[in-house]
Amino acid sequence: MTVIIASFISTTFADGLKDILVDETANGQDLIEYLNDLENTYHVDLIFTDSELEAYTIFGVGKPYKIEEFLTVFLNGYYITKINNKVLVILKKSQFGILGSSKDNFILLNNDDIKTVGLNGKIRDINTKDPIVGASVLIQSINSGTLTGDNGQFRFAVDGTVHKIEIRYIGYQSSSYIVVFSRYGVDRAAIISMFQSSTELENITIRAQGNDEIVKNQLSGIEKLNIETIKKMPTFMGEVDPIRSIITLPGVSSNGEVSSGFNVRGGEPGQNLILQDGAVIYNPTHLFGFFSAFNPDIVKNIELYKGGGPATFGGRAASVLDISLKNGNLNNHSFSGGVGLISSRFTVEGPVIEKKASYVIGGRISYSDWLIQSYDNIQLKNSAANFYDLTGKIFLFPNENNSISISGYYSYDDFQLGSDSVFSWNTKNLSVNWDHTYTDNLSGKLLLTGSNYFSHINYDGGAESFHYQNSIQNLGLKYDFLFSQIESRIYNFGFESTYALTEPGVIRPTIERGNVAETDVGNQRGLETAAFIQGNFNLTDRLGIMVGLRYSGFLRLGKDKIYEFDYSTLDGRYPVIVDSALYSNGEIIDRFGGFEPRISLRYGLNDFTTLKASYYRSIQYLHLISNTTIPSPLDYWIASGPHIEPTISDQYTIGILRDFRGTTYELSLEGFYKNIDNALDYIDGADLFLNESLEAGLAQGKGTAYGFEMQLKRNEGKLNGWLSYTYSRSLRKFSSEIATLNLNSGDYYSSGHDQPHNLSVVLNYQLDSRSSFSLNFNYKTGRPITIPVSKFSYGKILSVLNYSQRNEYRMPDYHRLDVSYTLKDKLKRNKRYMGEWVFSIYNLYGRKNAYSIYFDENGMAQKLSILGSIFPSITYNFKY
Amino acid sequence: MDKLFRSALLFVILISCVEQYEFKIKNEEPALVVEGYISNVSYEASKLFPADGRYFKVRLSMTSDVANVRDKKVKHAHVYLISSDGSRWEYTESSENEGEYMLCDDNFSAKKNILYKLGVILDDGESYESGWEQIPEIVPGEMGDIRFEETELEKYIYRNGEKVLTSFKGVNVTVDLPSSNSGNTIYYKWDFFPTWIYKSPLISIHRSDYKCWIEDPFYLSDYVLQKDNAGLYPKKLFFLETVGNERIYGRFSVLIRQMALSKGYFTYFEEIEDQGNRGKLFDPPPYNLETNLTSTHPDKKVFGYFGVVDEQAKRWYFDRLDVSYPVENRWKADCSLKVLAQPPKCYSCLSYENGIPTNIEPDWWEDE
Repeated sequence: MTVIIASFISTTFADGLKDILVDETANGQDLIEYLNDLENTYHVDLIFTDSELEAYTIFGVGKPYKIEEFLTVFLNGYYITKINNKVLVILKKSQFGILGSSKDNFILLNNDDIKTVGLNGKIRDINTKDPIVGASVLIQSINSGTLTGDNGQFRFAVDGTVHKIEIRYIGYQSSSYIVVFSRYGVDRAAIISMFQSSTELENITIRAQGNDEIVKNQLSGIEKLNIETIKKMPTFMGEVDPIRSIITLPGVSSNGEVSSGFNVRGGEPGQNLILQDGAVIYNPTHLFGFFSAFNPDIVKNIELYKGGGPATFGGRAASVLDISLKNGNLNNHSFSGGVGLISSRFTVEGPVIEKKASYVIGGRISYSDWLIQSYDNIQLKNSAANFYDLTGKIFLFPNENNSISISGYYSYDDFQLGSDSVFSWNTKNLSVNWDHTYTDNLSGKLLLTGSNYFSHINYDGGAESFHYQNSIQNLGLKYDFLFSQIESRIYNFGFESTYALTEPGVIRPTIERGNVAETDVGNQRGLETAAFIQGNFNLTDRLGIMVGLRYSGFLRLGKDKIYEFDYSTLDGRYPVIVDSALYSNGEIIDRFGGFEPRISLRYGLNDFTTLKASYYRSIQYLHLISNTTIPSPLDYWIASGPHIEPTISDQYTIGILRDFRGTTYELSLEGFYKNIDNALDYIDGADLFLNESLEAGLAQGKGTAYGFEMQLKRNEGKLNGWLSYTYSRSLRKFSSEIATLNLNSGDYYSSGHDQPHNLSVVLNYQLDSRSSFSLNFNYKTGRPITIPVSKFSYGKILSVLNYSQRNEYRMPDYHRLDVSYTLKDKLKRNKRYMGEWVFSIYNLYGRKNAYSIYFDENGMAQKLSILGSIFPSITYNFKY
Repeated sequence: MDKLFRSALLFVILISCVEQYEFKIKNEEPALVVEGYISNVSYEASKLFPADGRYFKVRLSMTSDVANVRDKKVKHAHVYLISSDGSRWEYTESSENEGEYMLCDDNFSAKKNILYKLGVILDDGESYESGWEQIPEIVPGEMGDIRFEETELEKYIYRNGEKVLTSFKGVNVTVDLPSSNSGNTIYYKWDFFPTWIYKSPLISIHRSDYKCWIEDPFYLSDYVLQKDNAGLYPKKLFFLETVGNERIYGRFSVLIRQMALSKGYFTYFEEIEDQGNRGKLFDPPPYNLETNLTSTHPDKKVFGYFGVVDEQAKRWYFDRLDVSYPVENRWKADCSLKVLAQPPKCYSCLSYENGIPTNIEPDWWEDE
């Protein structure tokens, strides 16, 4: 019967939806069968996804209806949308809501009847037509998300024919579309245009953590902060500070009051790999740690991997902080900046060749000297604290398949207290990044980097005058392939090689016949090479796995002089040097290597609960030596070699993530256990400053860290933010038969970063479209410290101090509350200039937190508080 | 307002805030501290330095709280010395100085190649021992000459609360190190025992308290250490200020004692010195000194060091006329200030306050 009617219709009418009439002959037929017949007969696509339709039988058709009318009447509870004369979509109203009601919300793509297809697309600005890089694209149905690449492109592998796609980007209106695949579609890629938020006079709603809900489904232990999120947090002196922001995340803490480095899961500051556009940043601080080294106007994204991260990263035991800089605008020139009380910043960007090449360059400079110098105090007149930095990037976009960026960074710092020593440090970085698309499935990224970091002390004190310097320089080459035939299987593989030259310290007198003897601790050279491969597999909608393997090798190279120590004979605390060997330039002194497996699993229990687990191994060949109680410019890097083995970190995590009320609230719980082999610590009485046999002042042992991290986030609404709590321990055990290497009697002791309780609360409240209020509270257990517990007099010496066990005591607990209020200029249509005032109060209740506790010669504790008072500030930020 | 604001900012950036902090110390029991040495120079021989002569002493005290000023001395202990050749000496508790025990043997001296061990038994029965110690195998040759050269030392001083770089005239006193070609390290330690004359300017020169000899254990109280492998160079011992230093207006003398220590004993003093240089922001982490004493009771801590050393000494005299520039004697001027009353020392040298005065001339004192 059906066949007869179908053939009748086909011979009677032309192709196309407009010609289909449903009449009484349809009564009694199964709806699905009927629709299938129509498709074949009229060469149309009637797309539906709801299996409930299978239960329908057609009835009650009297007069002939157009197909669209018929379905609308017959299927109450469904949106019937005719996309063109060939394609009609039947969507249950509850499936995508109102989105399904308008033809404008549909994107029709061609799929040639292949079941699994690539959902390709490109995001661009509606006005400039520029690709939008880094926009997040999310497909709920396959529980997958991605960020757009340098050309604004994205790609997913999807099954089925109808998908809701959500697009978000800071500064643009979020949008959602329904992508429909049909053999009658024409386009093979979705070109999606986004509207800038300001042009619509609506305020940007910023989610507490812009993009991370996408990525969380891939990796355990990744934290991602968008710069706009960071800008919402209270500031110190109006300066936005990416490092201070990541300290609010669970599992991350800082040693001191200011962000002079950070600790991840019981690791040391020197165990974090900090990359800015691929180039290593060795000192992430300015003004002695008051500000971070990153220019917030140019930073685009910040990703923190707690643990080794993907196999493409390596070389540090605790974490990877990957900071990417934005590309300059390809179409318009614009500038932005901020004016604060002691520092200001300015950034300008624009096209060099329209749509083909752009630049962005920004700088910051401090001018605290006017304050210091104007003060009528001779000691302060001899004090100074300065910094400046310059960040620039050139972006070239010759064609669809290639993009090249060149990023440069220079920063300088100095500070002087009283008229003693001037401490200074500077960083020079350059990175070249070439992205090339070979085929639809294969792309490659070439990265060439160079980093130079120098730290100096200049002392001007008559005959004692000297100049001290330590440094680390490296040159890196990396090639990273990305291969994905289908979105659910992505492969990443490549290699990298880095040559590092470290100078642990050199001191020279700066006047003739001075009293300071020249000492030069020999430079150290190392070549670290690694190959890596990683696969990200979404095995099912619920189960995803990331498997990575990295093999890294390290060659310690000459020229160098290597001492041989005899630990059975001590000279003081140090072993006696019994021999030394000279190695010529490029000669291999020692070699190390090892596999670094990484695996991360995710399993979705249901739509709102995900279980995660991971294991990471990472090997660290370069070590930051800090022999002071707090991080200082005297810290320097050394390479693994005959006396220092590489540090190996194995980290295991397990966690659960749950959304509540849609995605409004998100709760994440994660436990970790970390075992560190060949952790480094100094021996008792070590003198690691300008010591040619510095390796003899170090011991290697076992490190253990474990903990539990919790984060509760509210992502949406006027009030958003997060609460992070971490309970963790970080312990060391250095037992050895050699007395001098047997630290703390061979018993476990707290590492310097063992701060069990760590709580952060970050809240933003959007008062109205122009103003918002932010609050940041932080509490953590005081740092471990070794203190004098008794004393005695000896001869003419009035007090000789006896110390506790290593790190047996704790400094007072740390807590602090900051608030800030941001007031934006009135938004006006087509107004390009935007300004905002940021009023902030750092340390609202003026707690005198201990930055350091040190002891005078009589053993009396002196607590030094930096920022030990309530500190208000005001900044004006602008953008054109 | 502007000033207030700037003050606030500077307070944060530069001055910050340093305040005393007190830790709650967990049950830290007082522990014994042993201090003493013996050398190759007996009491009788030590008089020939020339000096008053000294017996070998052992001082016993207990450790105290960090906040405490004075250590508690240990009385009624039994202190003894034994040697590897089977001899034994007993120390006698001093009746004058609490906690001090003396080896009252005029001719006892440590002998080369003999090992010595100090023992202490407290009146509660706890006993302690040092390790076996001996005079270092390699000892220096005859102690070199003491010399000085004129110099100016630049130091920061606080004047009206401000740090000012100031120049001080004075002399650097050095000792020549004898040649050492054994290839082994000699671990030197020097310490200083100054004596000077003070004459009260406002009284008759015929009075018995007109002229005194002053000693001060806290002046030139720093010791000097040196590891040496070759010798034959002058080692700076101390800086003696000349202008405005009332100690050198009359005649000034220092007994310079030179010891050659064992490596362990040397390290002990080196680490005490290192500890004394602390108290700064970028201090290296602290550590405990290593003692060569042990308790027979494993839970009992003990501190200090017992050394067996090679000892020599030289007496050095200095006169303000020895320098090329005039140094004014201001004793009289200092006692002629227009104030209500002159200091007591102006009327009796026995009232001299910057040291311990005596009007009995030491046997060894040489005038001019």
